[in-house]
Order: sequence, then C-alpha cells, then structure tokens
Amino acid sequence: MIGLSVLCTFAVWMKRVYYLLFITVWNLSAQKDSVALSEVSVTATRSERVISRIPLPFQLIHNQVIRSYAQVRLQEVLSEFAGLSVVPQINGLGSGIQVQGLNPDYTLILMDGEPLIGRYTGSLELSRVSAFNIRKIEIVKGPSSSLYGSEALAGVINIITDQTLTDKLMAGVRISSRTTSDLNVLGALNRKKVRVQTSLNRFATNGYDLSPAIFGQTVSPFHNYTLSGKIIYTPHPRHEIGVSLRTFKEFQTNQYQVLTSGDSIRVSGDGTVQDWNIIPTYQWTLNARLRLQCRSYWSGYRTKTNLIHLETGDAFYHDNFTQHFIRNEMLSTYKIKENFRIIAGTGIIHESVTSSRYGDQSNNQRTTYGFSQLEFEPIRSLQMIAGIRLDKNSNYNMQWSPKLAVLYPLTRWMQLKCSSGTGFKAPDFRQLYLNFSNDAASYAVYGTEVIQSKIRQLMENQQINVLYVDPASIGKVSAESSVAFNAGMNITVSPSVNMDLNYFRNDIKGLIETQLVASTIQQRNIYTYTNIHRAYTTGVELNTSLKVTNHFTIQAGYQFLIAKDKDVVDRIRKGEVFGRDPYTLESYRITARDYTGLSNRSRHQASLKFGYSIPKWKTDIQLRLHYRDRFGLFPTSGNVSGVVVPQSDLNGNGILDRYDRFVNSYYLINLTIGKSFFQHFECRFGAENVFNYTDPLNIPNLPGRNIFIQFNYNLIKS
Amino acid sequence: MKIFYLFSLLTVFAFLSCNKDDNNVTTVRSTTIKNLAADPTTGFDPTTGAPVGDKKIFTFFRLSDSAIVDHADSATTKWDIGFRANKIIINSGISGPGQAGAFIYNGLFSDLKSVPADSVFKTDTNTALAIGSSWSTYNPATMIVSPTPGKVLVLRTADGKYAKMEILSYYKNAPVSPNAFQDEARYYTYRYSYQADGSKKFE
Repeated sequence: MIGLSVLCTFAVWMKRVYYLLFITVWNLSAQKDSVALSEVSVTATRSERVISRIPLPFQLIHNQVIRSYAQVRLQEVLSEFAGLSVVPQINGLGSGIQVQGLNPDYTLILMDGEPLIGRYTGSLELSRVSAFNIRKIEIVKGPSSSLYGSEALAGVINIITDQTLTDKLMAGVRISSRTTSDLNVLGALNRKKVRVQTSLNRFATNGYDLSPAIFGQTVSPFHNYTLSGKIIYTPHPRHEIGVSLRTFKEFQTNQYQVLTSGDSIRVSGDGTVQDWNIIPTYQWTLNARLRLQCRSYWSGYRTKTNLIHLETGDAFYHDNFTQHFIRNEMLSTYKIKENFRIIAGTGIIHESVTSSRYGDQSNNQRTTYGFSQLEFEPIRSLQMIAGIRLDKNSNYNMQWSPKLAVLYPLTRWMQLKCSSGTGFKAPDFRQLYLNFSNDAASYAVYGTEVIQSKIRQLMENQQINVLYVDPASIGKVSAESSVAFNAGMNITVSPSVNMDLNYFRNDIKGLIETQLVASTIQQRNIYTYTNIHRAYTTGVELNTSLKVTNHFTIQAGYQFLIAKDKDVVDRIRKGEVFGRDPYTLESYRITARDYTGLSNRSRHQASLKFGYSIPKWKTDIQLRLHYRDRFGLFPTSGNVSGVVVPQSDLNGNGILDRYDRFVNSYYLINLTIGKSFFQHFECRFGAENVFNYTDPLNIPNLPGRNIFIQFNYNLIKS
Repeated sequence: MKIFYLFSLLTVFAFLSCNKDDNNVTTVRSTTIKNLAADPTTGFDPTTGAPVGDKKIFTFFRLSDSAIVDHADSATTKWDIGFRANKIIINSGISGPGQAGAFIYNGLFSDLKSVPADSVFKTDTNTALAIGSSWSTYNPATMIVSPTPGKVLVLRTADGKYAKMEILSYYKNAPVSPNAFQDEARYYTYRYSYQADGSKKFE
C-alpha cells in the first residue's frame, strides 16, 4: 500500500518535472548565493579558507542535505555522492569508503579534525558515526599527507559536528523497516563566555537476512549509543578553551553459520564495540596576524567477540582488541599580509594495540612530526599553496610529504585548479604484529615484526620444508606511498548553473600484500607481509548543479575510473599472462585490452538528484538515482552467513579480465518527502532502494528496500 | 542441380581436408588424459581438517603409451611422471632411477614447437622438485587449486625422449567452476605431446 502511494507520488512528481523542464524558461535567478560563496573550510589548509579559493578537489556536504534526505548514519550520507563509493570490508559486510578508486585503508576519516580510530582489516566502519549532530562534512580528494600524515593518501573526510552558536533543543526519531530505530536528542546553550552542547543517539536494528535458506541472518541484530558533549569557554576574546567528548558503544547479538574445512558450523555469541575520545583544545589569538593552537586528542577503541558452537556449547572464537591513540599537537598560523599566510605545526603520536590475534601483548608505535605550509599569491589572482610534512616513526622509514597546489581564475566564470603531492600509509598493526594460524586450512600469517623469530624457531626445530625467500630479506616493511596529480576546473555559468570537473591520477608503490615465505614439513604455508605491488588509479569526476527555478534543482555526478595493478600491466605487455577457457580447457594469451583492473571498482558511477520544494505546503521532495557499473570481486572469501561466493576468476590467472565473472551493474532509487508543521516540527518519510534491489551472494551489505518515517522537533533561538 | 553443386562442393572439401591430413603425418599428436586419480581422499577429519582416506602413494604414468604403471614398479624406469595430490615427480634424482628431466615453459602449449636450445632440464632433488608448484594456483578464499594458464611442462622421459604437457584440471570431470566442497579433487586432466623419435621437435 505504501509502495503504491509512493509510486503515485512519483508519477505525479515526474509529470511536474517534465512540465518544468519543457515549459518553463530557465528562470536563472540573479540573486547571488552569498552564503555559499563566503563559506569557509578548515580541512583543506588547516586554517579557515574560503571554499571557492581552495585549489584542491573539494566537496562539501551540508547538514541541510543530510536532513532533507533524512539519513541517520554516515555511510548512508556518503553513499549519495558519485565520487564516494561505500564498499564492504573483506568479508563482504560493513561499509568503508573508496575515494578515487583507492581502498578504504587510504582515506583518513576525521571528526572535528581528529582521526577516528578502530579499523577492521584497514577499513573504518562508517556506520559507527551518527549523522544527527553533523554540521557539515568536508571532503578533500587527493593526498593530504603534507598536512595530516599517514592514511591521507586518497583523501580526507572531515566530519564537523554542531557548532553551538545558538541556544537550541532538538529531538528526532526515525523508524524504518526491520525494526530499525534511531533516536536523538541534542541540547545547546550559548552564553556570553560559555557554549555548552550535548547530544545522545540510540540506533537499533534487527538486522536483515538476504538468504533465508541459510541459518542465521546476513546481518545480526545490534544496537548502539553515542553520547557526545562539547564545552567552549572564551574567558577573553583572544583566548578560547574547549573540550569535546564522545563515547560510543555497540552491542551485537550474533548467530550465524561459518564454514570450516567444508563443514558448516552454527555459532552464536555476543560482541561489543566501544570507542571514546576526549579533545581538549586551547586557542590563543595573539594579534590580528598570529594565532596559536594547542590540541590534545586521546582516543580508545575496544572490541570483544565471543562465539560458541551452538550445538556443543564449546568455545569457537574469542578475541579482544584494544587500541589507544594519543596525539598532542601545536599549530601556529601567521598572516603576513592579505593572501599571504604561513602555518607551522608539530606533534607527537603514541599508539598501542593489544589483541588476541597479535599474541595478547601490547604493541606500541611512536610518531613525531612537523609540517609547514605557505599560502600566497605569487602573481595577481594566482593562488598558490606549498606545504611539506615530515613523519618519523619508531617502526618504519621516515616520510617526507610535499604538496603544491595552484588555482587560477581564467575568466570571471571559470577557474582552473591543479595540485600535486605525495601521500603515504604506514604499515598497520595487523601487518606488523599479526600472529595468526589457521590449522584447519593449514596456513599461518605473521606480521613483519614477528616473522623473523617464527622462522628461526621453525628452522631450529627443522620443520621448514621449503624456504621461498631469503630469510634475511623478510620482515622488512616500509610505508606505502603515492604520488598524485589532480587538475580540474570550476565553471559557474550563472549563479544557478555550476560545473566542477576534476581529473585525477594516483601512482601507488609498495602496496603491502601477503607473501608466501615458507612451507613446513606438515605442508603448512607461512605468510608474512611485504611491499610488492604497484598500482595506479586514474579517472575523471564531474559534478554539476542546476537551479531550474528557486524551488527546483537538479544535480548530476559522474565518476569514470580505471584502477590497475602496474605489475600485471607490465606482465601483459610482455605476453606473460594467460587465461584458461573453463569449457575447452585451453590456454590463451591475455591482451592489455582484456585486463579490467582491480577488484571492487566500477568503471562508471553516476548519480542524478532532483530536489523540489513547494513553499506553500512547506514540503520538499528529494529523489535520487544512483548507478553503479559492474565490478569484479576477486579475491574474496565466503560471506559470514556461511556461503561460498563462486569464484570470480573463471580463467585461473589470478587477475580480473573480461573472461571472468562480474557482479552485475545496478541502480538504486532513494526518495524522501519532507513537510514542516507549525513552527518547530518536521516530518519526513520515504524509502531507500525503492525497487528493492538485492544481490545476496555478491553484495551482502546492500539491504533491500528500507521504508522510513522521521519526526523532528527543532527549537532554535536565533 | 542445386543438390549436385552442393554434393561436388562437399567432395572438394573432403578432398582438401584429406590432403591436409596427409601433409601433416609428422605432426606429434596431442593426447588428452581424463581423470587420472592422484591419491584422492574420501573426506576430511572434522576436527583437524586433515585429509582422510588417501593412501599416500603416487600414481605413475608412462608417456609413450599413456599407460598407468603399477606402484610396485616405482623403482624402475617404466614410468616417466608421478602424481600425488598437487605434487608431481619425475623419474630421476631422488624420485627414481630414470634420466627424466623437466622445466616449466611460460607460454602456450601450441606455441611450443620444439624444446628451446638453451633449455635447462631439472631433476628432483631433496630441496626442490623439478616441477615445483608454479603449475597450479591455490585460492585460499575458495580453497580451489587451479592449473595456472600458460604453464607448459616440458619433459624428458625416463629413457631420454621429449614431451610437452599441459595440466587442464585438478577436479574430477573438469568442472567449469569447481566447488571445493562438492567436486572431488586430485583428479588430473591433462594433454601432452610425445615425440617418439628422440628429437626435440613437436611438429
């Protein structure tokens, strides 16, 4: 019934779109959107800079957009933008972010300028972040290691929470399919010298099951709480002291089937995920030119997993994971003259990890760093940014990360942007300290800090059958690094028509992969990590927005992407890569044209969004259409519901080429209709994935249709 | 009339194809062997995951007449190549008394017209087998062993003749997309060309 009414609304609405498109002469409003033009960002340069003058690929997601779509978790928000793909973790579930065709490991995710910690196999789970108190999300694409150090290789996503400039009281509830609920309350007070804000979020879901024939759900039920608060104290106009707090806890009830050496085992158990952070800051504005900032960031992340065999009650899997991250930083900004600014900063990071998988002892890392950046105008109206950062870490080699960016307004309506820089990602704790052996599948993986002693021990016990590499050469790993180039233009035909085009190219070297080191006399393979692969990603991103009338906007986004392993490309060029036809069983040579590139990348991705508001009814309609081109899954493991995903590599060469199995392309439609009541109430309803597209085997992280209704109460004192 | 034309056309074709065959009498024929059992298992131990039911013995094969050689003849030169699970041995060095040798040629089976002059044949030693593990690729995610495409086993038999071999499948009946839990592993399908005249030419 709801589906029918949605369809009817859709049909009526489509009629209107046609009407508007064909009958209305484009009423290009002359009124300038002054708010957007003067808006500043802190992510791109670490000091306030007007967005229209940022010489880097930059994207802004406003709180109004998030609200108008009625989205409640971060991954829902980011999945609405064509250049940001939400991709699963290695087990096919969860959600991480792929920027410019690089894996989630390579995008730094900040909250109020501080990195969120707690990554699982390199991917940070975006659903941990509630979208409720987000003021805006700033996204800088391309490497920003010159300011942020490790992980800022593909880009930086900075989630900026509510600023508390007015007194307000907000409460919201969203109820959706599969007994999913999201409850929020936020209160803020703004007094002369003190600003206080606190918010609480509770999210709960029954999960979903895409394969009812298999025991357990695809995603098991879970619920979580996020409590956050902020106090900003300004004793004097030149001094500002602030403390932010955030704590998150999730409770999971797991019950599913796993595959172990061909047997399906039913397991159940509870899991918890917890994270917390405290950010004390102090800002001292000495005079109109010089400003000093001291920031401290303490963060912790902990997960507990306890699984038992459902039938026997025996322990099946147990893991405790604890991570701590402490950072102290000083930053100074000095404005020499108009359009000439210098920033310099220095800091120290302590990190530690304890996990059952890392041998239960605490592993530590220390990084000291310094960076500097110059913003200047060498010739009239040419904006230039030059920056460099040095990171010195106790575990890997020293990293220099330079960056240069320019912006030049060619005409009044067109500006050109160009930037180049390097990015790096330090080896993570898993790559350094993993101590894992799977006796059933007869293999073991050891981190680079552990492997030497393990091999020595095996050699002393005369258990090594074959050594594939020189033992002296193993156990050395360095940071993965990239060199990137971005060039683009922004065209503003009129205040209502805007187009942003960006070309990107990332050349990554020293990608860390598992390496087969030895096999034992029991036929057990021993792996470690090493820098082997080289890859590149290149493509074009296009974003356009068109304000047809004051009440009707159309936005279109598109990304073209090519991501390939350079070593594979070289081997193909030399004629060394073959495929086997699974039917005739014959081998053939792979050509450069056959090779499709890295897994989980779609060549084309597009989105089309229509926003229509009817002021007299206080109603707005947001319709979004997202398209994702086919992609390969190789190499993948069975998903957690205990199903083996069929091999994508059909011709046995370990690369994805046109003879392999691909996940079908698909499109999703999301629709939100909102209406304001009285003065302070708003109601939104709609559906995500309106046509209920699912692919249980290949895309288990895509639930079916999700119908929701949301009520908000906003009391804002201006 | 039409039928007549068709008939004569067919006759011409038949004649042409006969001719072709006659010209290529010297071509070394390629033989395909299906489902050679290489010590298959009956299942897996539920607790350790170790294979059970296998006899831990090699299956010996002679290239000249495509015969499976009795295991009792393991210490003779009657066999050229032996298979057990994903391990392949040849009749030389530590594995047998013959003068077999082998190496892996990277390329297509059909492209290898003769044994290259600079070839170095290896024998089985304590540290490594002549035919290592590069002929196959193991996917730990799907637990499937697949013969690596573009790997040709160049062989010297126990009595010094030459052959080339390509392994086509490791699963019974060579399924298109093998499933580690349904398809029976350790069944080899392979094709090979054996040059009986002692030369290194394959055509």
